Amino acid sequence: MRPVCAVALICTACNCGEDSPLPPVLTDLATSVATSHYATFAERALTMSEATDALCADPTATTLEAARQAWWSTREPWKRAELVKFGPTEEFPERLGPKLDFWPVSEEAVEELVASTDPVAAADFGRQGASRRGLPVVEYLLWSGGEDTLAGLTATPRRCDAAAGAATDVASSASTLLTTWQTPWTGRLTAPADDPSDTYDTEQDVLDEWVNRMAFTVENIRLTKLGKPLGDGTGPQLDALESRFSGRSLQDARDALDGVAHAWRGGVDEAGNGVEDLVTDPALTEEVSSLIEIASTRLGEVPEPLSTTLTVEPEVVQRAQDALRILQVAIQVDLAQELSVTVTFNDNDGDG
Amino acid sequence: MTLARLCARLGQRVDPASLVVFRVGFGLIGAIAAVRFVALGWVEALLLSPTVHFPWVPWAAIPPARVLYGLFAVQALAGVAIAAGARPRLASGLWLGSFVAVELLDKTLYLNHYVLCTLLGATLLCTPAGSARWRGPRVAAWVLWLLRFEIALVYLWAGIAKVNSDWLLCAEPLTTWLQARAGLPVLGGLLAHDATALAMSWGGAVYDLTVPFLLLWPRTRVIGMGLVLGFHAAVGWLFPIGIFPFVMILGATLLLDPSWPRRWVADAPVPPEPGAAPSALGSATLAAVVLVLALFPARYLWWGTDVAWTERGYRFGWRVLLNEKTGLVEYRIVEPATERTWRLSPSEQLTPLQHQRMRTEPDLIRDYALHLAREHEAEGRDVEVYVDSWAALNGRRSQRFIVPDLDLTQPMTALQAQRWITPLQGSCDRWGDDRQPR
Repeated sequence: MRPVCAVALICTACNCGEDSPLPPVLTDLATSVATSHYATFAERALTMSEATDALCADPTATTLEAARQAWWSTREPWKRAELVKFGPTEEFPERLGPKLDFWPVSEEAVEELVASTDPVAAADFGRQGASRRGLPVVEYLLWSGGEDTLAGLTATPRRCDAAAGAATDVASSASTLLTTWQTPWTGRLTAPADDPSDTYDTEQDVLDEWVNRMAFTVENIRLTKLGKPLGDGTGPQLDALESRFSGRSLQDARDALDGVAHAWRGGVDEAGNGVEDLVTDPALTEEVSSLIEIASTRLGEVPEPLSTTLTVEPEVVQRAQDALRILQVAIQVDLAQELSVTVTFNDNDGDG
Repeated sequence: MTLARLCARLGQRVDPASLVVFRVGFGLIGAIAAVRFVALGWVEALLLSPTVHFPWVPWAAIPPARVLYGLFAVQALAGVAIAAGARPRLASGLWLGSFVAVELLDKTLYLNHYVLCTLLGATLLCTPAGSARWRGPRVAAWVLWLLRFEIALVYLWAGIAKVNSDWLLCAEPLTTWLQARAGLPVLGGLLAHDATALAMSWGGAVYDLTVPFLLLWPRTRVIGMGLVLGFHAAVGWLFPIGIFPFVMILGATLLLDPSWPRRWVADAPVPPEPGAAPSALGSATLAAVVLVLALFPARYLWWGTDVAWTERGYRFGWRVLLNEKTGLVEYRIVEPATERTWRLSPSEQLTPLQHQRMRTEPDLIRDYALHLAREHEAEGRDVEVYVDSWAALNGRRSQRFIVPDLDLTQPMTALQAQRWITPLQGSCDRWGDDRQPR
């Protein structure tokens, strides 16, 4: 029997042609999860840009509140997409992540910019370093004055112009993010073999990326968003809080965890295929789903604002961290192994 | 076979042809491997970029870039010289010295075939093997047999290590690894099938345990060499294991008839002739080397621990492609005087390769704890270092890996006395219901 016939026969017997569940999952992760979040982000960033323009045209408590709401709302899809820490957010030439969300903001750099005579239109922000642009800069300008913010924006119109310029720059970057994600990144992530850039060799490589990012995001919430502000036992480190001026620190963490849940379940409305659809062990599926719920609940139990809770009830924060750690182990160790993500080979040829 | 006959057999003079092919191949592989290491950017990525290293010996600090690149240049040139047969002792010595110098820099670079290359290089240096010439005098048979023994040991210990329930009953880690190849065209579905992993597991174990004998016995040499070529081609295709298949295929040729290369160039075989047996001192040295090489991989039996889990006795044991192990490690650094606590994920400081290796290897987990303690000590703090770690082996669910309330800065003997590694629980049955509660 010729070898080709033998392979064909074996393949028929073993159902080689059976449709792999991986392609539809990768398609939905790229579209229902990432594109969906990025599209919402681009849309809301545009609204935020319009709201800050309106604020500068007519600085009132109402327009300030509208601009703040628009910023808050823009933040949601952005943080939900936090696990997509690959593609145009990280890779050159775009590398949009730092341009959109360099954290913590350099207060000194922003104040210097406001005090200077440098132009502060959106295009000018495009030429600024990461510490002088992005969502944290808009947040700083819209909140850092506390109750005197409106007075500050009115008394120094340049301050408001800077907020509007930074917001429009964010909208521009968000739009670039969306279009770049759609082409070429969606293709790279759904049909890696056809991609001339060779960013990923196989569909399994793409899955590795998603699962690793799920684990990394959970770790980031636990250690960076909660752990660093919690401090080393000598008191909270409030400077390390994300979105500390607006008081959105906890909501940022919750949104980031929601993003992990979306990747697991297959999108915001859970209608698509998610990573859970690749798991053949029902017990593990149930466990990861349950741990996501528990971590979400524990995070929800942390009272706002986080800056106060860190001082008054640090144990509640620690309880959320514990739940996140258990979730991280389930994703990084058990789920990764189940999905063959942790193949113990590396660039430095592995035989051990 | 009596001792006298064995000595006479080892003293025989045999055709150097197979040793010449081996020397040329080894030199070329050594040279290509050095060039490849540099060309792939690994000097920068694996040696220069990391801010932390896991040296085998405390004094093995990372040298400046020019020295490192110089070591690889020496490796490449010495490899070419070995292949060309030019100044064989000097070439072998330079190759071995530069190769070992790099390997000593970081434990996370450890690979079984690097150890094998070191062993083979040392044999070329210390025996007449490196000086073998096509038209030169016959070579003492013990030289050939020593190299054969080194190659056969890799197979036999790798085969013995596969005789366990994970490999034979659960087909792990091959099930996990082949699942990751399910996307390959045509054969992907076949590879992902459970039966394929099981067949390959049994086949691999039988292959390892028998192939040295198939190669040594004239009647089965063709079958043996066919298996060697097929096996290593398949492994090389499925897994990114670099030069390993080439080293093993080359090594396998040593187990063939010493005159085998002459048939390919229509040269007359050189028959063996009697020679002087090794001296008493030589025989004793050879016996000691053989004994150490044979028994060193078995040292884990003395310790009585599960070597796949604790990794105590794993290295230098020819346990090749046996474990799919992953884990999560996080450190708690406590300053007792102030009760300050720092939490740290090693991924903040380590490269992906270092992080991947250290999180499942207890001695590296402790090495990093000691590094953290030294960092704090340099800032005037006396700290204790604890680790929260979980790992999963071959389809089992994750479990605690290192006992979390032990200060890892204690001496290793104290840690071992306190059973610092939690015992492995559960079976490898990835579909079973004996999962451990988290």
